Amino acid sequence: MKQKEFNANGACDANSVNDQNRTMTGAASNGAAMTPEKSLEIITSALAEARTEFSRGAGAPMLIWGASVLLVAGLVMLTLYLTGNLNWHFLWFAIPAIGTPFMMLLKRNEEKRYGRAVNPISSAIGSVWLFFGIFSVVYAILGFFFRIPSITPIIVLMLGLATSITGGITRTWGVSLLGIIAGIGGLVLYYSGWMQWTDNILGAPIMMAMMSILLLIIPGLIYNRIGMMQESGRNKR
Amino acid sequence: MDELKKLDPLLHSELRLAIISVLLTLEEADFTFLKEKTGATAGNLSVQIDKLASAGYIEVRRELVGRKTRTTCSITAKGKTALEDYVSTLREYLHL
Repeated sequence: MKQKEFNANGACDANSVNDQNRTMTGAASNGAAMTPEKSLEIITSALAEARTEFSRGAGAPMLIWGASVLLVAGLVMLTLYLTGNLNWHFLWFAIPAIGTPFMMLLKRNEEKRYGRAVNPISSAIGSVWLFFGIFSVVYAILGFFFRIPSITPIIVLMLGLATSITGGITRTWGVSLLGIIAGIGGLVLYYSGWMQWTDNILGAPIMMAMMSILLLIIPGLIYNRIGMMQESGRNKR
Repeated sequence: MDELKKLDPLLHSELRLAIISVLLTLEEADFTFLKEKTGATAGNLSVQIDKLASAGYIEVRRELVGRKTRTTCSITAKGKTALEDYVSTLREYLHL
């Protein structure tokens, strides 16, 4: 009886249903009246996809920034090793210059391919990394004007914090754990005589290279893998 | 037997329900994104978006990006309430 009433309600909309092609679940409607189960499936599928939507595009930015930090750390390491001139530390400011164009290119390609959507999860994560970037750059600039403690342990701690928060927001606990272990571990390592073990001037770039792998590249690969698994799951449906 | 509430005919359509469900979870989404998510054709999607906008369920913003027009949609408070009512009626049907 109830099913009949439902269909009767649905029938009043049959004309508009007729002209539809496919839904999120990929099923053709063919003008058939929707069942309550079908309606519920459409809604639940949209909600579930939104929760996991972030993972599809999350890996690439972390890989871009991770590769930028790793590249600059390698350059700093090399130049310091060859010349011993500490002014080569200015190369760290090249990180945003290298990463930003690639990020803009990525954003343009993603928007062209998948369209543009603003969801609260990606907004929150974008803010976390934006403020991490602002704090890091400002702290580095302050070094020109004040005698401040070494930037390396501060950056390691903030990077670990940003990665942990990213993992927390996306409920990717492996990433959070990596952020905590690498962030705090890096800090402990730094204050346990790291600079002496690593020939002092090479300590900072080696530490940053390690952190870029642990806190950006590995999480980026984790998100890419999750994204690929979700994509193949969607295709199977 | 108790009379069951009628389902909102505007939402009782696969594509319109998909559009509004996707928008519920987002702050906003553009036309390309909705097209990719719903798998609908551009023409059909456009028609359904206009119907939802006319009912005040979604807000449509059109802006010029480069040489192209970008259509961005977001759900309104009225749309959220309508979807909530639709879901609660569905629950009655399904005895959930």
